Amino acid sequence: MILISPRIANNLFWMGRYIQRAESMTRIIIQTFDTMMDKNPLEAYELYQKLGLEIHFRDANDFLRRSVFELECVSLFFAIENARENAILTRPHLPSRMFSRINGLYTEYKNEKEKSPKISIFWLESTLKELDAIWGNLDLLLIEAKETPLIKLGKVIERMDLSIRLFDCIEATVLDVQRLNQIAEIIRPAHTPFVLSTSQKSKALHAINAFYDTLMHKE
Amino acid sequence: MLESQNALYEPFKAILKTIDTQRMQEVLSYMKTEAINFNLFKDGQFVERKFPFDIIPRMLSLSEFTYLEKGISQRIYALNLFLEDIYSEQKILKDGIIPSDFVFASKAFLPHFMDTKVSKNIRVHISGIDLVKNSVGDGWVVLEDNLRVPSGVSYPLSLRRLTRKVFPEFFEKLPIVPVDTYTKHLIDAMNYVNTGGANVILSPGRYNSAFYEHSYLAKESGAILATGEDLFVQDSVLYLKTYHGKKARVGAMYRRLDDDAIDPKAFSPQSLIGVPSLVDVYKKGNLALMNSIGNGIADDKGIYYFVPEMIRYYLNEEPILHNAPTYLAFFEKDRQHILQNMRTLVIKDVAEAGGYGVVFGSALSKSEREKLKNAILQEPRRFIAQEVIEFYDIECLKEGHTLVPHKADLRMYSIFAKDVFVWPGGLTRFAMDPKSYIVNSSQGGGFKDTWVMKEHQ
Repeated sequence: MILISPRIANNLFWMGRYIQRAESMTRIIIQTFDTMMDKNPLEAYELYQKLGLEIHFRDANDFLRRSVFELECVSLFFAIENARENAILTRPHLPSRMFSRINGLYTEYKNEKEKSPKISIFWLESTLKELDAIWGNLDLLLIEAKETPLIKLGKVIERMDLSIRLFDCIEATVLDVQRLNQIAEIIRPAHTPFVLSTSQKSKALHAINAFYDTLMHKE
Repeated sequence: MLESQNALYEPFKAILKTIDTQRMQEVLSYMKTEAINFNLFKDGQFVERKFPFDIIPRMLSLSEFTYLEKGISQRIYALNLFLEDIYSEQKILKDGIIPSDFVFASKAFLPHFMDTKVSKNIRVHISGIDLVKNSVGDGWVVLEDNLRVPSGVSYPLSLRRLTRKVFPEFFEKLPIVPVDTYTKHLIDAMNYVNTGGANVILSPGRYNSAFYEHSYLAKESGAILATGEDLFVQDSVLYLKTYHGKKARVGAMYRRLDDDAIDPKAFSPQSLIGVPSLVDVYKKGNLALMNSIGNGIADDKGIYYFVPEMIRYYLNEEPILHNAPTYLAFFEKDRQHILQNMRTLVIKDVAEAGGYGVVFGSALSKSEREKLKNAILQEPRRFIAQEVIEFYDIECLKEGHTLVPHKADLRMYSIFAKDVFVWPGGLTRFAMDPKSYIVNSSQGGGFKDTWVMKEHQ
């Protein structure tokens, strides 16, 4: 019998969200850096504008350094640090290798932040491999565990949230709605399925995030 | 004197000479990746600190371990009987073995818990006994009994797991007794006293110095790691909240909180980390608490003085392990001895722990000595004094294969279920400064693994 408290469920959910956030951000940062170099120097400014932030960057390298390490609450490092913090709090519920990988990634970022003024794109790309391995650990080792759907719920909700915020594309979340309902059925059987019935960005975001509260009996 | 110069260490050292100590970096890297930390607050900041360790273990022969095992078991049985007695009939006081005043003057004695029955009459489920090996005659000496929340076992367990990976040649070639039975015994102990329901480890939370240990033990034992906010009491039963909006009954709790913090209704109202009304559940016999409430009276530094007498009184046996020669300022004759011989004694404040409140008389200035004398005269129950024990050093490996001796003690752990199990390992703590006698981890000490060898090499 595995018992999971609401606190731990919340930490598992947020760990899933932050891992997914780290993955999405790594891809976006690499892509934005590439565009900024010789196509659109304002690409990063426009990116953060979609998130409601007014941030100016000197050049592509300035964007890289700040978006990976320095921007308060929105840096890639912040996402990894929070994924790790939630992993520390839920450690007994995680496969050992999954925990080690998350903590190892955090440690590497912490060291890199302290020692390296310049960020290599190759190094940044290695983050994606590490994140793939973390998700892989989850699929391989926790396939029947009660923790899995909570982490995956975080993953899907984060992906939907970011798709709507950054790309303003509610259609892109349709496949995720199906996944979300499959996961929700495991967490809370016979729940009222999630339906994205609005094309308005703020309402859609609210509905997605409120769905978690419904599943967790917080409504 | 060096303990690690005895013959038992020779096969280890022969292998050590052949290995590339650069591989130590692998152990360090593992420790980092696995976040094997000992947290602390420094200048108001939370710091995740690596617990400094050394690769050279303390080694015990099987016969030496068997001797310690017998001595510790005997001590735990007696201390458990003392607690059962002191919270019920108090025969030991009535028979004049321990002065009643001495017990009743201790804050650790909790009269509200008189006649509280505990599951299977076990109160000392998990203990850590601190010992040193005297280099001038008496062999092993008990310095302290830790019967409330003894911590540290996860560190040698984790180090053992890592060194098996990085330095397999030691485990392949030397007859080292495995230590991985600890968590099985912990589970058995929880199940043995469980009053019906889940097993839970109650942690103060993320910012506790030993959170790694709480997490480790939960993972390895399968018990639920909980904090106060995860639990609630209803109709004198303790429940764990589940995310389904349901509740699950808790039958045994390995609590890693002090008595003061465990229930804001019964103890400190300021405690934000306890569970309101938990004491009510405990008193009604609906929960096995490991360790029991009120154990502090048995590991009080003053009560320690009486443990040999307890063994004689309850078990009708001679103590196998000896205490360090101790004087109680509470007794007039001892007090005079302490006041006249302060320079040669270690004076301990019984209210302190973790190496704090320990003063070497030889290190005090004249005015400091006078101040302490006055304190002893004003509150004699608060102080004990011990002869300075010249305990053995064990070498630590430094850069370039050099070996430097450091003072080292040994914390041995036992788990009391149907019988007392003494773990064939231990936390060897060493003083970071080679000249210091203070080995406590909270004061910057490091640790070593402890290897019990199946046979003489």
